[in-house]
Amino acid sequence: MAGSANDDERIAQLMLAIEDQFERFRAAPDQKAEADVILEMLRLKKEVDAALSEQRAAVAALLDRARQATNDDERAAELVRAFALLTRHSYIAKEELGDVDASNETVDQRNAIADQLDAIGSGRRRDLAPLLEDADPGIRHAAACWLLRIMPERALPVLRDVAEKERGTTAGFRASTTLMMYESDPGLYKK
Amino acid sequence: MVKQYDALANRANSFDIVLFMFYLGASLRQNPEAKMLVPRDMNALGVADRSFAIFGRFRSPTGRVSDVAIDGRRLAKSIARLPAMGNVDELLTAAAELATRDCPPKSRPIAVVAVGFGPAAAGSSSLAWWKGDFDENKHRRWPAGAPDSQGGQFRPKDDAAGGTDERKARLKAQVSRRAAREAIRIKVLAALRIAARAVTNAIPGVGEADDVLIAADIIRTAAELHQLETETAAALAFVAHAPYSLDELRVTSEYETFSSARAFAKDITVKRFGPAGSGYQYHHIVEQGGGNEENIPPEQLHSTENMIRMPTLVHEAITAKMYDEEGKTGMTVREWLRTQPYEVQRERGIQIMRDLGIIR
Repeated sequence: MAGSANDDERIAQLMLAIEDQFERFRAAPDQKAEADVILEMLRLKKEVDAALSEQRAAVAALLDRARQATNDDERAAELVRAFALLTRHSYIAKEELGDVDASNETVDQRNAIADQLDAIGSGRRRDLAPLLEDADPGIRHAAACWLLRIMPERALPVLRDVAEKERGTTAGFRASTTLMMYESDPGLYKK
Repeated sequence: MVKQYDALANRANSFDIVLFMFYLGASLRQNPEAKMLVPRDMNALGVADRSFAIFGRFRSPTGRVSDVAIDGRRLAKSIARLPAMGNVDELLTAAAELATRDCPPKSRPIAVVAVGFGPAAAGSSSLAWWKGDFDENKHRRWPAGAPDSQGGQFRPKDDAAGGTDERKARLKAQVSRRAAREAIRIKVLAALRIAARAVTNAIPGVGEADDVLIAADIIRTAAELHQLETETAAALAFVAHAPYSLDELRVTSEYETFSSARAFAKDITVKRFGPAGSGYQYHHIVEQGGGNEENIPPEQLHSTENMIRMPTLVHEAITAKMYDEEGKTGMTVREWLRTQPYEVQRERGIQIMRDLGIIR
């Protein structure tokens, strides 16, 4: 899947560096040393913020291209890319930043994109189907959620696979939650 | 796996205890050098192929229950000094004394626990102890003379494939560390926001006053990070020993209920075991508040089965999972769970802790 894999890696590395600095802070001998560590942490945090801004800009660019698309196929293709990218951002927010609110906000944005796909009409939601085979289990899960109603025969095995093979990860947890909710009340997925 | 037998709690003239301690005494005499006690030449008694491990069970001042393995050789020496037919009280006392020497500081002994392995003898009154069939092929041991003094000890189920069980255990440990890390990160970032705001708001040209403001905010940030140190240390120490059994995290193995969280706090944390401890909190497996207060009886919500002691950061990692939004419905896990019965909520709450590698 094309996108911001490098940005993801950069954020992961920066967060590791911040964690290292926290270790340095715990070992700092005096207030001066502590202040130096905090300033270094701030510098790293600014880099994280910059990378997050770039991620947001990448999504905005895809959505711009979708708006300016001259035909439905092109528009749907850009929306599918944005759907995948926002899914990945929700994982970065949750796993790297530990920020569940930011992660949920990103999920909401992604869901709005799925609504836009539906708005194109003629069963465009089906354009998410190739994402069921994405290498990223989080993207497979997100696509399966949105395809549960119209193609459960393909979506359910994907959800079961992610829940089973990715147990202990955010993707595995999300897939098992979806299965639990779907099995308890399929009506939640009727839209 | 056979059965834990809480000998001290059930010591009142039980024939089972006499029989159990007789087995124990006999097996120790047979094999005084072994830590895993395997009786030999006991076919006449119908107790061949059994083995026992003995533990002292303690409760710490914070309510945590832990087991300390009793050194088989020392116990054998103690028992060797006792009369041949093994007086139950003396055997128990010998085991309890040995366990007490190794128990954590300020802990109090609450039981001597024996875990046995082996087939039940037909017609034995001790059948009630045994659960399931013991199949040596399913519980394979290292052969005698195996390297690293492993002879006789149980071997990993899949050691031929490079220790799948071991890899799974490592993975679980990584998961639980990550759970604590997510919570640490969000707090570190929150602390940094204080100083970041000061730096962002700095007015060019204001000079010294501005520097003082920044310095003050950095000091505040440092104070926040220091606060986080205690929580981090508690969480990392906790996850280093994960996964736990659910029982290990309960404040008491007794099932007790309370009319409210306040009543639980008053009785358990004030009168009996003290507060959760620095860097720790009490966690409701099935959440309190919201619809649960109306739909679930308080005695079920505020019980020693539903409330467990947990490091603050791990508690927050669990809570973060509950606030995760499901991929499509727009509902968080928590919002959906609150529409479900107690049993479903409890199962999911336990599954979350399992996913995080906190419990087995």
